[in-house]
Amino acid sequence: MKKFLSVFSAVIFFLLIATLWWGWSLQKEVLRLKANERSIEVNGKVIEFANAFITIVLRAEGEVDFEDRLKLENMVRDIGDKEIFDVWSAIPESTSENVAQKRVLDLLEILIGKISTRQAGE
Amino acid sequence: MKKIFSRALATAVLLAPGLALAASNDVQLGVTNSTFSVNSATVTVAGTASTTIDGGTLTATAGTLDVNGNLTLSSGTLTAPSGTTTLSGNFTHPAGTFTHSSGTLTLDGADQTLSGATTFGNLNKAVAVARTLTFDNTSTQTIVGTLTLEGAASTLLSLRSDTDGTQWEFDPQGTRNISYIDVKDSNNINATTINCISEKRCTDSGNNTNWTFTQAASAQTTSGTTSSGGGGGGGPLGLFGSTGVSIPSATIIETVSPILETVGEVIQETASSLIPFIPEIFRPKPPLVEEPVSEAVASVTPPSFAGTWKLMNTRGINSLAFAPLPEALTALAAKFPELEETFAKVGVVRFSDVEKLEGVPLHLPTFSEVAHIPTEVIFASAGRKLFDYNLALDVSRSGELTQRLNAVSGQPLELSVRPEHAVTSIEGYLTLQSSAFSEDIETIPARSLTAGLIMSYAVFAQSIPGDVKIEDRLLLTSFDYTDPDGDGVYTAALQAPLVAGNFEIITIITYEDPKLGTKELRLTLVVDPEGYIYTLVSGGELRIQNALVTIYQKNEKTGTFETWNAKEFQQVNPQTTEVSGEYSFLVPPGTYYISVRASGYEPYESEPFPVVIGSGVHQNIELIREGGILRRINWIVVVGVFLTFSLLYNFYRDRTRLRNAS
Repeated sequence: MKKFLSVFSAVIFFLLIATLWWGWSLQKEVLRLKANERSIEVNGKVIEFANAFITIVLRAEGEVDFEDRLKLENMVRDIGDKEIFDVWSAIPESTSENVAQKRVLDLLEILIGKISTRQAGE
Repeated sequence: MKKIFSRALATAVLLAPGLALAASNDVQLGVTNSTFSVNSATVTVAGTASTTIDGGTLTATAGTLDVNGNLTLSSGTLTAPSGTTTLSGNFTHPAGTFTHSSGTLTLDGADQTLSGATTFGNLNKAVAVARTLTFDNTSTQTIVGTLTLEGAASTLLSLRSDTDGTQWEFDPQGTRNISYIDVKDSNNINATTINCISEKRCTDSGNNTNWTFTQAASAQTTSGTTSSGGGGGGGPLGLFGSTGVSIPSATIIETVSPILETVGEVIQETASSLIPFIPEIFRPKPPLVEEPVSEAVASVTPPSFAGTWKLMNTRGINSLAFAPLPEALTALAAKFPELEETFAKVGVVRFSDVEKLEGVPLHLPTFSEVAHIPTEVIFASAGRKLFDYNLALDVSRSGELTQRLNAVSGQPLELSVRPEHAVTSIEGYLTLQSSAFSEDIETIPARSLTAGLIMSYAVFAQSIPGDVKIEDRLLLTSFDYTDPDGDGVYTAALQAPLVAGNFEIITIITYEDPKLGTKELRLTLVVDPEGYIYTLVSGGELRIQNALVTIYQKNEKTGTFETWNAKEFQQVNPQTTEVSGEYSFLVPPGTYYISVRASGYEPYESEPFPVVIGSGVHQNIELIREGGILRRINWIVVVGVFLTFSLLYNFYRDRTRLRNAS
């Protein structure tokens, strides 16, 4: 009986350790997947904003109205990336066509850069 | 106080244009029949000096008036400019006549007061810092034009009565531009309610009549009745149900507010101290910016979004799209009319079209195919020009050219070049780049027999200044091009290196004319090994000596295969392998198959295969020893078979035992 209890205790102890280890591994995996999910989510938002920017602003035949600008502002805030936000915010403050062109290019470059960086697994 | 225009001034005074009165010079018109006409002039009363009209007439219809102190109209007449009257101090109008002339009174001071019943054209006060505009509760201010009262997001403009809790009256009859204000004790006697919706951030501090305040959380309307919200002026708040005990809401708020604030602070501090212990992934994301989105987006469209600017600079794109073909490509097309014709047919005329050629193998005409040999292009052939090495041309996206030739190690090479002008000499150098052979040869299936490549990178003749410099590579050999028959085509014979690897052939053309100088042509040569005959043994491959390798060519007329006539091409067919087991054939285009015979081995015959121009034939061929499959039995096979049978027997015994037991 004593021997049985010893073996039983050892098995329980082993199972406990195994469960803890498994739980720790699972937690690590969950964190990794959550980070990955967030990255994918942000990536999708960046692509969506880039698409909207091209459609609404770059392909605009005339003035970009208030509602569209509001929509873009909301989208860029939803991304939550300060670098993108700063460059986007600088565009309406452009004082000349050349400055606006440069800032638009900067924005596109950053957007593409963000997408590729995040896809690389950042 | 120094007074000008004093009682001594009994008649009309016409001011000069641009008159500015110093800070210490108050203006007082005190005589009944005195007249002060501004006409088109600008009168500025600087500093804190005040202007008082007490019995005189100030007419400024066509001018502008800028009073930096107080403006008082006690009696007499003030005819305001039809433009703008700017006032930094208080406006006091106990008596006298104020004619607004449909002009605008702009209040640009700090905290200001309007007193005395007055009818204004337009009234304007807009502030960037928190200010208060106080109204006299005993009189009514009427604005027939536009009323503009504007504060800023965090700095409201407060409208107050001069007696707290007592309403002040005004009658805004025209347009109302009202935003970011804090109103208290106001009675709008106009029939139209003032709408101050939540986006305009108006604050109802109570006791306001005929105002509408729509808050974000709950609509709060004060229309025709006295407001009960906010700052202490509200009515009693019924508490304790039927007991009828009423405590003023202001008292409750004053009592409860400090307690709530303290509790809020404690909760805030506790929450802040706990934040570091919360994993980052579960923490709320901090807001990117504090500024509300509605304020960040300007109501007026900025120039960059007005559609008048080109936001994408297309200059670079246009220059790329309309740029001509790369120089190397146009030079090559000029030398090979067939290539030029091909480019024209497939629409390769601009730089942007080059990508159409990417991945498309172009074949340049061979030495024997060109009617007129182009200058400064190297051709490779063999067997006294009976063979032309394949001149396949690859074009990269950036317009760089790569030529490919087919040959095998140890094969003879005859290089030909036609200089454009008379030359002093043409020299050639063979250098080693690397000893690795191309990967392409390994990816080609052995049975396809299309292996054997010479990769050639064609850099067309480049002028080089000064002395010719051969890079610090291993120089294997140098050779001279000669023109014994005087036809203008210089030739040189060499043998492809026996060692597989990457080599470079550098050809230096030295022209007689010093102005033309020296030109160099470079070819990168990739040499791959010959094919060999082998058999598999336990330790690997064993090369087979004395194997007879024969190549057969298909006769296109009869459709039968015949032994290829190698003598015609300075080669031997069949070939007998030496210790290395190696062999190779350089054959003209056609369909071939190979047969191998060796003593002690089963005969081998390949499937028919096509050969493109100038391709070498050299595959590694495995022969199987006579005796068939028995020769492949070794101790591993024996042990494997024994174990399998043992398992099967054990399985059979178990089944038998179980059957007997049942």
